[in-house]
Amino acid sequence: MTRFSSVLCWIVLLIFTSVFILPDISVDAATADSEPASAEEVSDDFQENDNSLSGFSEEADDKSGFSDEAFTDVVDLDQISASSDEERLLTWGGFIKEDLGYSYDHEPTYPEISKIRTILNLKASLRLLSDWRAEAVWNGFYDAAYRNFGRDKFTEETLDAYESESEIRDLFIDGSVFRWLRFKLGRQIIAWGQSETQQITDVANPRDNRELGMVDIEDARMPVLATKISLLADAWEVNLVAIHENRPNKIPTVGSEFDPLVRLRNQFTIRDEEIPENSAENTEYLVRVFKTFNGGDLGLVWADVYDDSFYLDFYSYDAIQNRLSLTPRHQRTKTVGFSGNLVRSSWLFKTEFARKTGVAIARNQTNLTQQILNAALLAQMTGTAYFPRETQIIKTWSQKNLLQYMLGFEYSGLDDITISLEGDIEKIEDHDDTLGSKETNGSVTLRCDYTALNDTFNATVLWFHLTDSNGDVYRINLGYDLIDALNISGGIILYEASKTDAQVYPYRKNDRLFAALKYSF
Amino acid sequence: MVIKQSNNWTVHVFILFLCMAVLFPGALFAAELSALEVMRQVDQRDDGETSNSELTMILIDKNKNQRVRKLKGFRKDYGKDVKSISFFLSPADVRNTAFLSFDWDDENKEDDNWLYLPALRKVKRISSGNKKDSFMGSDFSYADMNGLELNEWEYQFINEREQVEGFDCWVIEGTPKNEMRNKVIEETGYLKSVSWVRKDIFMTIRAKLYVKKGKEIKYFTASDIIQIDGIWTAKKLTMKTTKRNRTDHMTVLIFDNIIYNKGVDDTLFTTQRMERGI
Repeated sequence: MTRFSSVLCWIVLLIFTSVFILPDISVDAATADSEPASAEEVSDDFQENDNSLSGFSEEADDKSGFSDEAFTDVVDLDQISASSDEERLLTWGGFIKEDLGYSYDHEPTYPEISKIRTILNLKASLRLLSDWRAEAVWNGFYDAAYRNFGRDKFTEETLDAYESESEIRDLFIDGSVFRWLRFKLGRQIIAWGQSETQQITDVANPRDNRELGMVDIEDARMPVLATKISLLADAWEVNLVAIHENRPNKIPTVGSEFDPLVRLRNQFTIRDEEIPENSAENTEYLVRVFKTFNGGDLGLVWADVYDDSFYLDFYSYDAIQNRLSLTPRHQRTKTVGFSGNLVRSSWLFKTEFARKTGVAIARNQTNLTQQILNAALLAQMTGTAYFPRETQIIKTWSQKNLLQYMLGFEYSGLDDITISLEGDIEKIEDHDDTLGSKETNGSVTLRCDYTALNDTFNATVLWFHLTDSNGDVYRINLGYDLIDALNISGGIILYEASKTDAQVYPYRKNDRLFAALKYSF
Repeated sequence: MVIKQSNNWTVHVFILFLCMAVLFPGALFAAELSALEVMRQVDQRDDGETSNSELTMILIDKNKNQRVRKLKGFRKDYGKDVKSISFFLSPADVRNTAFLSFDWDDENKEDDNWLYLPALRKVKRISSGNKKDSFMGSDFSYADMNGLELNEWEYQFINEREQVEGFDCWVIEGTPKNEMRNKVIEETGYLKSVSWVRKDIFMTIRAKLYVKKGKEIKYFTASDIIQIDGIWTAKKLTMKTTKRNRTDHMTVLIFDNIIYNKGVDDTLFTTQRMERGI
């Protein structure tokens, strides 16, 4: 927290400088040929008296203030009469972005310049029949940081996941057969629910979790091949979804900075992740009933899907080497839940709840150690050297039901500032002492967004806290539009954990400064 | 470009300013009206049952750098309630962003507002409390977009006969009523307004707005005023923010392809339509 406070002070100072001092300098520069403000005028601006009209500097002539010739002569009327995209059959767009990362507190095995990533995103939209359209989005990147540091210093998995990527994100057709019946077929994102951080009823799409806390939600959802049928009636909407593509979360790879299994790899052999085949049998199903009403929205969700997060399943036990092998697998779960929001003036209250059945929860270390000892004993007694999966001699997980709650709000009553707070709680039903997770776990996310300079400048402060001292992630992001299409941004992300067994502890050296330049077209 | 997610804005720009429009039959009695009655006539002007149009917003900073945003908007009256939706056409980074608003006549009902962000592929409800904030980074605030509540202000003539660009105008000063002064100032950010209202068409063609924060003065101008389908319409609106007699920022709104009373499909005003785009 101390480190964060000190960084926060610097950032606040930076924001203050950029927002309040720099514009004044440019005002003076821009108006250098005009008369300097008199001492009275300057002092007038500080004569704040809440409801008072004193202190305004008005044009001597009441009408001269309405003159806009000096400004409007720069307006190019030809530009504004250009035809709009609406009339075009095919529209193109996208962005190119340069992402830089500097890990100032890095482990020697990882590069100091942790990211030099060039991203290209291309999007095409095609108007088909009167009410149908097709859309395709491709995204690719190349990260020169790996070549810069030496490719031989990274695992193959890390290079595959982080050095370069090329993928089709969205690829779908969308349209209505009748006014009340709409189809969307293809690779798509189906974003439901109210939580910005947790997947409670928003279970259709997997997430990109390769860099903890650094991926914005808009980039985190990964599209899947699906058929979505929507039945529409006034304020009601019923969505029927079949997902034909089993795509798990993207997770940090072995050898990468955010490897979630880094502690386990010394003890166990972790095999490649097993992903359910794309087959009719493995098709996932979701239903949502959504209703908007005056002052709020309500959604009810039922889902029968594979958990996008893996669990570690027993694969084998080698008694000679006393080595346990585990396979990351995905459990089919059922979800029933709801999400809703309520608006009151500047407040937006939101909630979400789900009960998930058949969730795989890992056993704890003590339980596993005991089972391994038992297996070793059995091996000695029977002379068996190797126990394959079929023996199920060691149970690494238990099937449980999970309750997830979210309660939060957004407040936008302050000038140019939006504050949002979200609390998430997970509770395991029928919890027992063999489980590796506590009965109740939680997290808190606090986010503050500030905009200034006619929306060209924005600052975001984010704090993500895991309960039970499992760690904190802080992120500060500043962005500025150099022109409409060109945005420059930068910030810092900090990982803090005091306990050695905290979830965030392995990433405590991953703090980094980041910067980006993005051109949209 | 930042799209602020927390305000009641909607395309009231398509409702109010587009229709700086009044065909008022009682002009003969204009001289007998009180200042409040004049402002009420301005507020109750005919803006058509439905409308659709294209809007170009030009933001000009003190160094004369300009940013251009284009939107397409639709509006429909449902009795005294109004539904509107607008879609960003440009710039590229916000293309296909959509806003949907239900503006209820019943004061006890919160206005409903949703925002669709294509990057998130998600429709998000937004709150409607803070009206002081800038509308899309422009010099117009959400209070400007929604219009001021007449029953919260007191009006008096400053001048009952002033010529502006050849038209006879009333000059009317508005100040928040004493009993709700703090509330009004807190909500709108304005300490006082001075409006120039054309007598022949009951349209505010100029206004001067005193902003509490920063002691700024905003100058509003409506021009290119023509009749479209019988409805008086200002095709160009400007708002200039000044501080210490210096222009700090300016916004020009230009409306094109304005169509009144030709019908707008009800299915446009749904969250599903926001996702699908224009």
